[in-house]
Amino acid sequence: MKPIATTRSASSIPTGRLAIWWVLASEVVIFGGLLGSYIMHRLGHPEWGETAAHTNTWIGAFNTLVLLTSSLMAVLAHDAAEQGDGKKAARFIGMTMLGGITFACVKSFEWYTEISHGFTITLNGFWSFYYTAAGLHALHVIAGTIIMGFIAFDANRGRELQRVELIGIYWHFVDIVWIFLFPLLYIAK
Amino acid sequence: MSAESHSRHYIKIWAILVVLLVISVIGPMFGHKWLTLITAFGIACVKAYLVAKHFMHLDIEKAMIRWVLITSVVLMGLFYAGTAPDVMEHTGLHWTNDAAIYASENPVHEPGDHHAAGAGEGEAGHAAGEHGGDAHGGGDAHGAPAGAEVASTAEAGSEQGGETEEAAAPAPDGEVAEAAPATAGAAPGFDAAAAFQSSCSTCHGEAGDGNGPVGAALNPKPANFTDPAFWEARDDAMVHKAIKEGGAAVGKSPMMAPWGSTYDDAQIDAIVAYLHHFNTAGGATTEAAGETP
Repeated sequence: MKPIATTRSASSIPTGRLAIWWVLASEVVIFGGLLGSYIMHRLGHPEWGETAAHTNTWIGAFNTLVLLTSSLMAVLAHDAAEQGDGKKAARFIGMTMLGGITFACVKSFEWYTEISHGFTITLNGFWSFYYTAAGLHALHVIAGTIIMGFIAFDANRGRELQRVELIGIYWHFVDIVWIFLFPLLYIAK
Repeated sequence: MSAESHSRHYIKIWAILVVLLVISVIGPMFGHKWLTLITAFGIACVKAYLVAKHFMHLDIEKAMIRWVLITSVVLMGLFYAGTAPDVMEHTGLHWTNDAAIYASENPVHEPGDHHAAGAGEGEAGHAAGEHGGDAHGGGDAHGAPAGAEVASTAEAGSEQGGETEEAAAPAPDGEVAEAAPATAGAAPGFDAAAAFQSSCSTCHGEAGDGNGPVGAALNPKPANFTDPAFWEARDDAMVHKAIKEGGAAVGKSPMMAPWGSTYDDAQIDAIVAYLHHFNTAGGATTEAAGETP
């Protein structure tokens, strides 16, 4: 017996997919509020440009590449799931997870270096936003990676293949948030 | 579309995204501000569009989903439009954001100076606590140089800001005001002592020593009127101007707000005269300050 969410559809959208879109609609407001606050403070404080110069563009760019590539893996997993190939979908989800883990490791290294050089969250307004925005985003990366573990486990056995698309939609959103965080925190100096 | 062409399509989109990423990294290297803005944020929008359309399949999703997302984006825009004017501007019709003005006119904290500044604030905060306590308890703190206070308490100055603020909060007492000489003078019916207590003491301290509860957190510290050196470096006209037009008008901290719209010239003269009684050196005012319990 399948849970009702997977078999019923509302407004001709599978309920699970409708739910993930609702999650993302609320995420738009959460990240939008945070990034909007950052932008308005940044415009009011031109002097933040000096302190933003300490962020490492190359690390940011590398992590962007990692997330873009993991997004490709997520959409290829979705493609495989649509063809009913659970094992192939699981493999691609595994590669997406690898992207998430790489992203988190690079982020840890980056933060470790910055904090050990004294760039802490309490230093000034810029670093406060830097750690809050990138930290909230990193939590989404970690959460997505963990959930993908469960989905890959099921997909490998040919179960709950519709979830491959759902986690993919979420993962692409996390990618989009980073697409905006990258220029905001690393390029605008 | 066959499965094979699906995959190829996705890989093609990914390749475009990577090229766009490379452009956004190269953009700032030319050093043109507008070019950087376009390559940074213009390209971010294009990348987001490509991911949403081709990876999230928003283009073939039900229209309802797009409306839900558009609603979220519009709400975000409303939030921005409603709050940004108050955050991006540092002055308005009836307000000024002194902290933001001060921050934007001074260099940002760097790790090197952060520790020194942090320690300094801690000491000053602690000294404020000690000083404030003495002022209300014994009164002899008026005569002690502020530097000595800092030195004597610096060793124990490891408390957090919250604690020192509590310590610096003044005990309710009106004795300082009572002991002050009447300085109505040029502004009959104007109580300079009451004006000082209501407008100035939160930063400059009830005892005029620059250790008010709000002043403890400021850098630079508010003026200490008990310090003879303060009065040696200024004449009454300069103090008058600072009160009327704000600290920045005389080259001092912009954290000192302008009071010209609250008090007229005669009233400000009365306040300046009143401030003199805090001075621990010079003339009859020494006695008055000395007698302060």
